[in-house]
Amino acid sequence: MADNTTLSAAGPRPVVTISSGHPQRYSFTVVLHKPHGQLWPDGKPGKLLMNGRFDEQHQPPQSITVAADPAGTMDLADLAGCSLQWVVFVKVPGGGKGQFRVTVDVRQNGQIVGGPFTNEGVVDDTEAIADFSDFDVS
Amino acid sequence: MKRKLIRPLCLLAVVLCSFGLVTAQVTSQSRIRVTAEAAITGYRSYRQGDRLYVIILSPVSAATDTSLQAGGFEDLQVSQQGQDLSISFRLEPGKSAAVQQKANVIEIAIQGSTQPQVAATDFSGSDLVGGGQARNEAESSASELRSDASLVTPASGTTTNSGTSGTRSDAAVATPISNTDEIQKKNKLTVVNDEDLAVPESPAFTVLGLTPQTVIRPATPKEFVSSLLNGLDEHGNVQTGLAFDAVPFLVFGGDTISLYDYNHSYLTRVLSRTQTSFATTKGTGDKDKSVRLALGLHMTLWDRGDPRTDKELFKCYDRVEQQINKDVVDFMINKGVKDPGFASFLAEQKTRFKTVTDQCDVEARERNWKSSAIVIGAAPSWISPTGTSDNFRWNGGGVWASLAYGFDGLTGLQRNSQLIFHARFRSNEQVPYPDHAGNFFTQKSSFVGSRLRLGDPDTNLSFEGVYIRLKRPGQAWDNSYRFLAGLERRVAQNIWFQLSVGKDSGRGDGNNKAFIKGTFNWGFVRKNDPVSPSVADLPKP
Repeated sequence: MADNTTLSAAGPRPVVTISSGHPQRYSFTVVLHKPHGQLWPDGKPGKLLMNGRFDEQHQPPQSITVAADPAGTMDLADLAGCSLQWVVFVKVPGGGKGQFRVTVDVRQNGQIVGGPFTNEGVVDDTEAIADFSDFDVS
Repeated sequence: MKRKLIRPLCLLAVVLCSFGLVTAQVTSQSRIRVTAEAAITGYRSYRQGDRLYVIILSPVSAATDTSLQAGGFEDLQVSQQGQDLSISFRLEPGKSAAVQQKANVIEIAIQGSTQPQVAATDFSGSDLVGGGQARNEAESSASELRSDASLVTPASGTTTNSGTSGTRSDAAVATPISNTDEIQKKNKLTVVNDEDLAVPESPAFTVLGLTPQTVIRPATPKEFVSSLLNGLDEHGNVQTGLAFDAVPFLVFGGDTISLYDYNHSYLTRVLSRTQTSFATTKGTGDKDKSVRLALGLHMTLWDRGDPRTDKELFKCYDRVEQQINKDVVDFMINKGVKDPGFASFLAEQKTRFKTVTDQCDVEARERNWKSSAIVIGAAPSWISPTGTSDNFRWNGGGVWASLAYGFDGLTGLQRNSQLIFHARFRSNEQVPYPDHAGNFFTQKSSFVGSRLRLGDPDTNLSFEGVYIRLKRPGQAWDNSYRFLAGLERRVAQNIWFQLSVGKDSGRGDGNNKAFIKGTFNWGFVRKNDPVSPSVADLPKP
């Protein structure tokens, strides 16, 4: 579990960024979960923020601005208790061993307010990484 | 002399034939192999719905090694059931699975449906008849690998072995343990990776004339490589040595580059394929007790076999990952990482991910192991004739280039052949006098040759011919030839064994001795423990 992310209620919309290091293939899924028992307007507890990959055609990093609802209206207080969650699959092209690094951070106004949350090490052919950071709003 | 040469060549031929047979068996079908430290007491295999189950009885404490390198199936799951290990999967249409046991090895072979299909069987304990009963190692041989194995297929309808239905039900409700690492730890499982291509020859060994083959094969280097050598050098002196190779750009700058950078920047590719090396050797014979040092630089300028630039490989990854990606997105949206079942879900997805992407790697290795490439190298060297550390002096240097041609587009040859052209120049080499122990003379030499590699990604033979020009003080140029037959065999993940047998011909000094050389090469990467929590550290609500 990564440290909590503290958002400023008076600040702009937070921007979530995922990046990677080392020439491996990464496929990632980033979602924002409502607190337990709450749902997004579409009736689901999680909202997909990013689903993509870093490979020979897609260059890291990738970012997305978090909106509190699909209509894009913004009340940052609605994000309190939400949980930013990510899963990343790492693949060494062709197999074998290599190094990997995955970093997720949250920024407001260009300033990091969450993370950077880094997971790095040695990957033996494939690796799966998952983590989350809960949002506090002050 | 001929008799002396014929004997090792015959031995080599036998060894090569053996390797070839083994390779043919390994590559003809997909397999899941579980290896235990002690004999496995038994196994059960059965089908439930479209899933096939193999329950290995009590391998937990004794199991030491497992290889998963199968295809032709999907949704592979490995789980612990009490003391037993459960492996289950869905077969692809037209495939069937045969389970075989030899002492401490259980092997599940995935193959086409051309073989006779047998209903699922259930073997356990000591009442087995040919099924999963453990055998004494002494009673078994390679040829005895169970031919009476159970063969199961999802197309054969309802399982008929009603006497074991209770067991099947128990297995069906078993819950996979939390994650793959835990599975591997509990069962001492190691997922064997078969996708590594051959570890390149050490540049520093090249300039010292200690590579098993004279013609150097171009290849994209590993991040770290070590080589051990024990054999004769080009002058017939026994040498033992160690080489350490590294790719500095990947070691120190790998974190700053991506696959995108690698594919869109030639400079990044060349730097990532530039290998430096350090080697030291020690003469162990009476005539040569010297210690040699060499530094090497090796640049792969172009490599069509580099998996990081293999677009077919990336397309394959994208294709086989689609269903996994869909399942992950669904789970993440509807449940998330705090869900109690997330750890086991992720472990299953990781296993699926590895299984399906490994199939892409196998196909890529078939394409890439003998691709066209160009490499250049240079290396200075030093020598201590007495073998003491305070007596090192300049031993000259060498430069070389190799061009590999993979017969691209030529049906019949591009699948299993590679032709390599090589040129090398070596100056100021200190060579021990054959008949004056401890005395050395200076020599410069040139090599021009070619090497034909035949085989497959795991085992290949090579045959090479080299034209050699030697210049010694006070003597005219000495022109001679060298002929070599070699074997390159992958003995384990990232570990390669090289052996060559050869003979010089036409040397002016009459020193046309036969020789044999062998090395073990292995590639590895820097150990770097994760610094942030992994999935295993996620809180359990």
